Amino acid sequence: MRLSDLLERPAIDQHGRSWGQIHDAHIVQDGPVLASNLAAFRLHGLVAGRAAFGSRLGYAGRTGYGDDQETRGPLPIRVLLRMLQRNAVYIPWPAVRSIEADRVLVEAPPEGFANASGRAS
Amino acid sequence: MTGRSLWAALHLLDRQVVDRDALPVAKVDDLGFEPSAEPGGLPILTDILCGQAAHAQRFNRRLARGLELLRRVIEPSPEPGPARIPWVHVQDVDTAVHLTADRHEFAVTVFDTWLATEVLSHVPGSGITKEAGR
Repeated sequence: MRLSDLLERPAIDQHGRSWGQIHDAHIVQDGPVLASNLAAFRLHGLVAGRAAFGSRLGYAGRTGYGDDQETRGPLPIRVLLRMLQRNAVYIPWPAVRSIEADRVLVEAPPEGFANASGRAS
Repeated sequence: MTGRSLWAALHLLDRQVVDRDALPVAKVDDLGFEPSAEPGGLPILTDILCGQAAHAQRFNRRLARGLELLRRVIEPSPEPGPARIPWVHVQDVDTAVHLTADRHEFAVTVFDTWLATEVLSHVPGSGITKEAGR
């Protein structure tokens, strides 16, 4: 599987609801130790939403990403992009059911996916 | 214990890959993941994919297939897919991706070398000789 198999594909749940396009993949260095003596990165989840611009510029809050690591200014742009990004969700990898040519099928919990920023939505 | 956390597209895509001598090797055009050996495990990042075919895959899959075919004609490879750098060679990620190996260990510039030696070397004034391109 390639990252490009996921990016910009719509995430569709078991009820046919679209959660927006996938904009990024969250990887964490907590896998098995490689020959380089470093742990491998594992794919933990995806961020999906309707607006991608803020996400690409690092303005949108992300799971596992502190407030101090986000792009900060200029303030009006930050406020605007965060507002556009407010519906972005974090899809944990175990919720991904299949990757198809034109979409990624996911299984949404009854309460929906958590906000991508990790903050209460 | 939770390890370092990165966002693949934000922190890795389009970053420069440099070898152990800090010489540029390629750009990160795509990433390859393998399924975990454990049932229900998370996919593991295994490769940096680079070159025109990997880059085109992000925008136009048909064009990517054509470029990949061209690469295989230039450099017959038993391994299908675009040029790749195994992640095991990655030492660090900051504003660039740092490798532990020498750039010549990876066949990631095959297409560029072919273009220089077979096409650009014939263009008057290019300053590229067929021998120098190799």
